[in-house]
Amino acid sequence: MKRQTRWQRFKTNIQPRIKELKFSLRRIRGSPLSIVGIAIILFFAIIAILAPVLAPPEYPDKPYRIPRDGFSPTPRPPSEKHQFGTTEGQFDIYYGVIWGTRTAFTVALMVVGATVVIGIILGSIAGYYGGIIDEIIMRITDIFFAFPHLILAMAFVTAFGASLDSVMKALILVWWPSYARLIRAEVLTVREEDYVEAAKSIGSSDFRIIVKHVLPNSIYPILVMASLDMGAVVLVAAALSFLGLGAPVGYADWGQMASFSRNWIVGPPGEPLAYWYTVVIPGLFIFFFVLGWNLLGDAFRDILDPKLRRR
Amino acid sequence: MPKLVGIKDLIVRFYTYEGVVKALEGVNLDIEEGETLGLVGETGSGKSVTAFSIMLLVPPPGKIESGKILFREQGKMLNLVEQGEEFMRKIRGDSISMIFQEPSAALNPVYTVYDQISESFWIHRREELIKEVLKKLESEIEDAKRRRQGFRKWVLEQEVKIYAKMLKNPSSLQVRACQKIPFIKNFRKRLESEMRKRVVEILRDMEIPNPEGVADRYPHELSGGMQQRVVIAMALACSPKLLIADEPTTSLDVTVEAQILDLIRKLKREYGSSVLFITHDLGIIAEMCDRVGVMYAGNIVELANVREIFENPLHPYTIALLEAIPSPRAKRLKPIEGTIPSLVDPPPGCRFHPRCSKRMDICSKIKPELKEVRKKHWVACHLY
Amino acid sequence: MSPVLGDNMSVLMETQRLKKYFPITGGVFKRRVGDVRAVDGVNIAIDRGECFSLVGESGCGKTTLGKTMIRLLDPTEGHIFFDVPEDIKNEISRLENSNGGQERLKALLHQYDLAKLKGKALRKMRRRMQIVYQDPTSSLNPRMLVKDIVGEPLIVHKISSGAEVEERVLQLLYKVGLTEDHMLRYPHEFSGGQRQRIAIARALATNPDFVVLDEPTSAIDVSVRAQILNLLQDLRRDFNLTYLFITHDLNVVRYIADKVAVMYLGKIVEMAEKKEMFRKTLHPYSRALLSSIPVPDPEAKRKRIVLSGEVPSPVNPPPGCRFEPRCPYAKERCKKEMPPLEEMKGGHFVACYYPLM
Repeated sequence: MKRQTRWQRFKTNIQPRIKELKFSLRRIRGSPLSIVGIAIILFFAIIAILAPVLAPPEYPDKPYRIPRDGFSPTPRPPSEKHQFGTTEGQFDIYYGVIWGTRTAFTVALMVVGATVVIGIILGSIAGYYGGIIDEIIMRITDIFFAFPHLILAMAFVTAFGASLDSVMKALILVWWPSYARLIRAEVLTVREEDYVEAAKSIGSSDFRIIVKHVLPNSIYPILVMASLDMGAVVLVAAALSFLGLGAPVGYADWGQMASFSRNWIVGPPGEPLAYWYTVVIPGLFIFFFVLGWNLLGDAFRDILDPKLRRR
Repeated sequence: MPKLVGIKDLIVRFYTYEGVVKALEGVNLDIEEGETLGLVGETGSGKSVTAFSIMLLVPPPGKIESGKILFREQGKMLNLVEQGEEFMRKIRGDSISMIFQEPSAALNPVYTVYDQISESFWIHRREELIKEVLKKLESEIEDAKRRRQGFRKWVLEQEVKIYAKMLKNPSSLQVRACQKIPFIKNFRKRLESEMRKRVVEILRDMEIPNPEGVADRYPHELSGGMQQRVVIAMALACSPKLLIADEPTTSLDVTVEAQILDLIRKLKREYGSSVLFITHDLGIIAEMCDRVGVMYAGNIVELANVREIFENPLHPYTIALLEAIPSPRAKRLKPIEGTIPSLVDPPPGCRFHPRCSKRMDICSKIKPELKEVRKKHWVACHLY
Repeated sequence: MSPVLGDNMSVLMETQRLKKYFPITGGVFKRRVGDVRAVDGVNIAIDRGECFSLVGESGCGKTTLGKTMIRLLDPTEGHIFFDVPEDIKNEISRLENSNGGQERLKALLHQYDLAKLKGKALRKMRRRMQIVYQDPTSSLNPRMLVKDIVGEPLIVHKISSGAEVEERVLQLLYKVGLTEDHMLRYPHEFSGGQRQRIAIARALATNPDFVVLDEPTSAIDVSVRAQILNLLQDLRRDFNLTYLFITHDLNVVRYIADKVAVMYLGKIVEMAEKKEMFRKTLHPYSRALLSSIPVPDPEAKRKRIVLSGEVPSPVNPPPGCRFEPRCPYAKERCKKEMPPLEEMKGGHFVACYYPLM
């Protein structure tokens, strides 16, 4: 075997993973809905990245402050100056939803990211070791599960003091038990497999076994659930903002925008849809964001399910 | 002996992501009435696919491309490939039955043994059962008349009416309604006691101890050998003409295997069925079968009497297979070089030629046909 | 009393009164209500370089015994002596039979008894014993490349690192008949026989002395089986390996084994050199087992002994001989007392009061 440079070795080692990736991509191509989902997410990602270009901030050091054009409580319909109109208090809707995309991604990624990490650690320990450790961790998750997501989140946010950070912390606290449970269930199955025992017979440490053998084989359901949860988290965060427990007034956040429309959902008699833009536009952004992630989650499930893979 | 099954030029392909798997490339096979035909081969030989094809149960993405599967039903040889799903549903379980390798997978874990065997009876022998019940009802009505039990007679006559309706059209609204209404649905008890009798009888035939008790058990409460007996009971419930056994003892212990093989032999005599025995174990073939077909990569390469195959194997693959099994005399096993070819891109000509020690030029070009080389001994090889 | 077969200096693996029980819990508080006695007092001695075959049906405990011997399972009771000098073993049994010297006994056991090893010492021992599983599909991590699977033992035991690992892996693959192309592939791209070769390569990575083979050819096609069996023979010769070959296929045993032991419900019922075992089978169960194998010869008139009933479960076995309920020759004594494993002559051991002479 000739002496290869590190780069050459890296390239050859990557080959089989690339082959598998190509196979996955092929499967994605076969499912039109997944392509739609990916397209939607990409669309939002581009908006988020290009936010400063699409909606130049009025206060450069506080880009999330939505510019106000006056203080009148009545929303104004879309016009030259305000492409999507203004909402109560004359906040520019266009600015709000563009920068709100960034907020949505931030919240979703932070919450889902943190819960996945916490869930994996606790869940794999509980599942792999079993016994009393398992019991303790599971009883703790039981306690969290006893409360509905939203109510518990509200309680936490109220305790922490209303702000977007509190919302994220609260959601992390509320959400991690589901992942712990999920990973634990997968680990329970995988740890009985022969190759795990074989690794033990070779003399691998527990840590190595969990990281190299158990987790890579238990990860599929997590990916699916994580992508579905990206949308769910945004919805709950929006709900909290709608109730006034989230971002401060004037912060660019979809939930905020929706909460501003609370009093304007139905217009004056004779013109019930007069202020449709205050509700519909933020609503549509939320709707499509969640839809995109849901489709992506479905796509992941179809692609990654090992049983369906080799058809 | 008259022919029961005739397979002619059967071609079956599977359309998968990796390509078209040419599972069966022109299989010709006959099964006579009352004989046990063994089908020997390894993975990829196509023996299971052949079995599934006879029942037209080839799973997607597989398709029967062409060929005939002739089956003697009601005196005529019908081509099963041309028949519709309705017809096949009547055949399956009734004229042709199958038992599988994993008995625990063939049994539904949430239904008792009784439920599963009686299902077979219910689907195929419903009329017989109802007529039995009706006969009994008639005699009871006579008895009621004699004893002047007016009310009882009236109740019995109502039952007769419901059963007659069931006979004609079991899924009619009336019948289904009667089965739900609290007191009226008791009429089913007669039918169930009939079925129970049959189920216990057949369990006893399978040499299962305590058949009444076992009938109420769930599959997971039984051992592997018992489960396989239950599966065989399900298969033989309606006295099929052809029993297909796909590696039925591979997952069982040796001593239990011996019991099951004995059982199959005994039942074959009693029920008069033909058996298509699929296995990779040449020892079982030697013990159970009258004739043997050797399959390799989707073709039948040799077909003969069981004695002929062992004493005079002609095809190089058969010879190599016999030399590769450990036996007391072997000093060193002679493995067959190479591996089973991919069925997506099979070797041209004879599919065995890359591994054949006796290959000639022609073997890689033209596929050999199955020819009768000795009396009742067919081989597909260019050596002959 | 432990039966020791073969030359005294060359026993590699010996078990004494080895037991492995699995507790059954029941009731609301999950109390221990009984045990599954998978291995119930087994004495075995395996010589260096030999192929010792363990035969039995499912549920007899052979797999459990194999795994317990190399500490993949923790024994409930008993000693496992791996590569322990004869005089130490003699001293230990002397101390056990006397009343004094308990301190010394404890020290000796702590050092030499594999059953008592823990932690780092145990992990070091693992280099010398390996296992090859029955199902090559489930014994290889489907998400790992062949290179990583075979290389893992080298990394874990710090035998090599970096580029050296790849070279050693390549050599191992050549030894088992595979090539360089196979290194960077996933297990599912291979056939059953090839996967088993990969598993064998992994087992050889640390240059072990002792390999437990748990039905290594049962899940493989007949024509490929011969390849694997020949490979195992060659490897044993070339690397001076000692095998514990667990199987239920007596034809394979006849071909590859030096010594044979028959297990039933957690106990050894008969043990002898291969030729002796097949020539003169003494225990009724062994005889029934040997006669049940289908022989590939249609002329063979087999007097097959078909046993009644099925293998019972190893929970709460009867006090007497375990085989008594199914034994066609059972007598009163068999019900009351468990017959010990005793030497008949010339290294042929039987646990039966009325062996079939």
